[in-house]
Amino acid sequence: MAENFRLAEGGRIDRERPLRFRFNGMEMQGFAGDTLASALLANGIHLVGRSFKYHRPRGIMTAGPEEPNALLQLDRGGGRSDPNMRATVVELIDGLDARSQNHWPSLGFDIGAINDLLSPLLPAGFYYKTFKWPASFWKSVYEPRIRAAAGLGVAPTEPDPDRYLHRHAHCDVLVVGGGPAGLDAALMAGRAGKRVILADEQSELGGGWLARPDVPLALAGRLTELATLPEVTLLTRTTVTGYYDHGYVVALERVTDHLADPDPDLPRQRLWRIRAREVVLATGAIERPIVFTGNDRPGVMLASAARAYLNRFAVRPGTRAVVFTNNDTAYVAALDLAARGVGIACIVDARANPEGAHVAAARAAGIRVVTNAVVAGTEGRRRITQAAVARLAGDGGLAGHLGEPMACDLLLVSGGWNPNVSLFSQSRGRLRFDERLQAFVPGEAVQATSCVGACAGDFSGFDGDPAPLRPLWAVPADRPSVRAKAFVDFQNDVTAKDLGLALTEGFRSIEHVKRYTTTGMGTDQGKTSNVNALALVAEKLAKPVADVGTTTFRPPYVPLAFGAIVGHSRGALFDVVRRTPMHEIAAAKGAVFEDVGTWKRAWYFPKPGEDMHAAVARETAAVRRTAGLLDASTLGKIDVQGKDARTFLDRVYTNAWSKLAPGMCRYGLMLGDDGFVMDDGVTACLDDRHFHMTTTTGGAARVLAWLEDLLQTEWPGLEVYLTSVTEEWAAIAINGPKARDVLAPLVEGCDLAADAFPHMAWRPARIAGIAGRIFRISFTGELAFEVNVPADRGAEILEALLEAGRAHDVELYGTEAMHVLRAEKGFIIVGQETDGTVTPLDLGMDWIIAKKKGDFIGKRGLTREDLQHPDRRQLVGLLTAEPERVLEEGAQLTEAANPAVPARMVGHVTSAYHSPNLGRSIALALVEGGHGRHGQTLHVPMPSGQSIAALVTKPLFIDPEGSRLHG
Amino acid sequence: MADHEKAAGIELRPRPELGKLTLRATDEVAKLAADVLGRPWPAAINRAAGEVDDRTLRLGPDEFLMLVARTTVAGLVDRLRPALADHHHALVDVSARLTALELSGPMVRQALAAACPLDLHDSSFAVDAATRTMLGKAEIVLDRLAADRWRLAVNRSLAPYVEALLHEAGREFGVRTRSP
Repeated sequence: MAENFRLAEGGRIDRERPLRFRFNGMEMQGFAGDTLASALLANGIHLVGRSFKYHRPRGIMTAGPEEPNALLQLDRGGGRSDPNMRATVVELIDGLDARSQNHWPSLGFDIGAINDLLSPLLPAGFYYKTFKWPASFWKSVYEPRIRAAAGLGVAPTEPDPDRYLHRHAHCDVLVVGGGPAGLDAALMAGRAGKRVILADEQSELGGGWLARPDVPLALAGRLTELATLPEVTLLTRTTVTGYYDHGYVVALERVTDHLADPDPDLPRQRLWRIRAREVVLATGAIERPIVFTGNDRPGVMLASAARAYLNRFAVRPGTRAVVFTNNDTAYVAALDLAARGVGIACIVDARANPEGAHVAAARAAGIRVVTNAVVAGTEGRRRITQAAVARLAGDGGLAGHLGEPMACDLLLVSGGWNPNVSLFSQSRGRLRFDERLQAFVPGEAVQATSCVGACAGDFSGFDGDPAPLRPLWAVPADRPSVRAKAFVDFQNDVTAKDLGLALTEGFRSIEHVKRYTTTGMGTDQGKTSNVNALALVAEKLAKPVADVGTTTFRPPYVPLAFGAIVGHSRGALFDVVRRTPMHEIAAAKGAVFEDVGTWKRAWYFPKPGEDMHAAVARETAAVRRTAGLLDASTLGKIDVQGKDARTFLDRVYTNAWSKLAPGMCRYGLMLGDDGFVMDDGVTACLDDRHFHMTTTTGGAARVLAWLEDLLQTEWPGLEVYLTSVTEEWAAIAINGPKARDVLAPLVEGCDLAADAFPHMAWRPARIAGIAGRIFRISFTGELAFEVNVPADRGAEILEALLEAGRAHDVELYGTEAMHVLRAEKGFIIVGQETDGTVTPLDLGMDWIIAKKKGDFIGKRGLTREDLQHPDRRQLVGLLTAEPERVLEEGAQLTEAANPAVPARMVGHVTSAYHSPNLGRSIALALVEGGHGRHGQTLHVPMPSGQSIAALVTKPLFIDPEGSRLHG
Repeated sequence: MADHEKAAGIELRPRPELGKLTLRATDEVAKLAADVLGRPWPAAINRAAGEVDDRTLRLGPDEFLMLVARTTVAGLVDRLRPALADHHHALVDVSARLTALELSGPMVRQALAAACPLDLHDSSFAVDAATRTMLGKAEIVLDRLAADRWRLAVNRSLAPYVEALLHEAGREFGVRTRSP
């Protein structure tokens, strides 16, 4: 397709670099420097989409981020698909494939346009009223159908192949907007030696200057000076999207979106997270459309947008234009267009007696100007073809048409200007309604925020002053017709009538009107519609606009890709993955790993042909028959030092620590203030003022932080220092009757014999030549040692133990076998048998609560009446009537086999396994009054309707006298 | 403008030969330790003192981290133990817990800024600044050795994440890992 609307010269496009692109499959050409919108207009394309609800043909209305209509689906190949991209801000790249949205079968002929004819049946809120019954249709019929019919683009289905990064930045002054006002602000701050970041959303700095026929030389001068200031960072293609508390500002930099063949080492986009001492908002102003019948046809365009297309992109947006305005700025556009060969049929000015330089210039140029007049209606199916002009009557109504409708293919509109106060409002700054501008301007700032230029309501840098203007919120309907539509919100198809209906139905708050009618919602967040909507509401309520107020401006200012928000945190970098020093050995042995917190722990070690069940059976049997090796490195470890260390342990554990001798260990339970179990572990006494505490794997960081908090805030008088040594030590547990035989040959300087090294003792030793510690502690009920060596020696030790264990048929075992083995002994796992509502008494661990020592955390909590109740859920064992049947963890227990619904549940299963050592299933459960129910049969009703009977027992299934432990 | 000078590069160098020793002690006791060892000692919190590979970082009012040749750790401990025996302190060898990683090149700061929320500008994080902070989801100790030379210490299990993150964040500048 030829670029019939491209001017022969001028503009800031690079005519040496033509670019090919496709729109709905049609091959077209543009130039480097074009936006997708300017390239489409150069090819004579105005119709680019169908509207949200009525499927009306829509064209390009703006030249900036406020665009409500020209939303396209872009495909950059390789799964790179973006819906709802505003053609007005997308930079053209070679090979871009753009498609219009929300129509079927085609953009030109769209079945959905029937909605436009049915519109009398589809007023604001129609779906709230229509699709109420039957309720079963809400999710199955109504929602999917409405979503399919009313929609925007198509969400991509492939994973996003692009890379995104974040960048934290700090500055004294952040300037938002690179127009003349922003450049001056950045220069002033930069000259004063401040650290400055200037962010501008466009591909080049200059803002409004770029839309002039001749860009002022001052621009180059300012840019040259800014480049010499070392502490000034200039960010183009960077949109500030959010202004949060304490000068925290988020901005999106589009790093490679403008490149057809980007360097793969560059991120596609970069989200800047900026902490600024001061923020200068130079965000300019957004021109207002006017609400009149037929104001949404392709070819209806903001006057400033037409000027930008003409001057910056060298595109004639039409051949013959009608200009409809209530202020001076549109005259400037009309004069520029006329100078470049666009016929101006007429300037229709709502003001009674407009005067001044621009009006005079238009008249002098021979342009027809009619005053006290409005555009009352338009015609044209896929492009505007004519505009009807009418005089305004004294009462604000229409006083009859002014001749025949005027033929045109372009209708330029200017209803005044709104300072772009989105970010100021996001910063919680208050807005003030300016009567002269008939717009909201920044009032009192709440943060260190200043506004400059048009954003502040200062239009002195503008070509043409937006004031004085004649407030014109809606042109009265020309002839009463149910189908006449005057749009307020173009993206959401909200008309002036819809707002009227909302008021008629009793809505008063602007926030309610917004939600009922959807005005101001959607991807454009009402940038062109909000002020018109609330002024219309004010007019109908006969209130001052200021009293109606604005709806809340929320971040983000423009839509963001999820990828940009996520940044690097995806795939392998989604979260940390922690591996123990012996991970590679386990992996080489075929381990299957499970996630425990952020750790990878070896779960089981299947041999060829084994499933999980077989592997776990072999591992558990080996531990009770010979010995097994477990990587226990992930357990939390805390070095506790100081003369008050014992006192500290006495306070954080329920049992007594005053008599624990050096060389010995003790198991402890930590409670919260409420008396519920929080963590557990074994602590060793290294010397009188030095202890080595262990915690659960998942609780390690939380327990350390909590203990540090206690020392710093509750007990600053205690002389105790804590140091995390979780990752200093690799830990390998050797469990089983052969444990001593496996370990002994490797150990120097330590006698492993039972009398020299009893259960719950620890000794320093050299193991395979490496200095470390050996703890005689057991989580299986077997003879067991735990070897600790510095983490970087862990793999060596494990290799040595595996080698030494070969003669004894030693097996590596994983966490699943560990769980089975401890359940056979009824040892609890915090977080499995406990859930934050379980006391030591519930667990049958009364023995661990010291009666004689002083206070400890949870002591008072435990005395609460309810925690003493005999019917609390208490830990028991369960043996199913069918030995092979393994219960499901979490399953509920009832007293009757087939209880009537709703059944009363008396407990639940916390752990359930097949125990190869017992040749049957075992389970642990929390059961109401469970300690008194031993011998009873309870039932586990299953979803199948079948119920499983189980005998309540002590939670101890193997070696009840503990003889194996002391072997 | 955005800094895309890939040639500038970032060099990433693991330093397994460094040992690490944490000392928890009040100012007075720490001064005693400094005297016994006769080494430069950081007076202010979040500052480091000493040579690049024989350095003490002050991470809090009563928390110090020494990064020294690993072969010298035992000797330091032997000299400090008796000197500090009568004073409240905790001296813990964390050489195996912490992994030291050195970064050099003009674009290191930009790469770190992809995931570290601190202001690393010369005016607020000059040479010899040292602090505990976050890099993405990993807690790190960050130490600025020279204008373009940085070191971080991280728990060993988090080191692969930190390295992978630095490769991703520095990819546009070019990242090279040097063998230790």
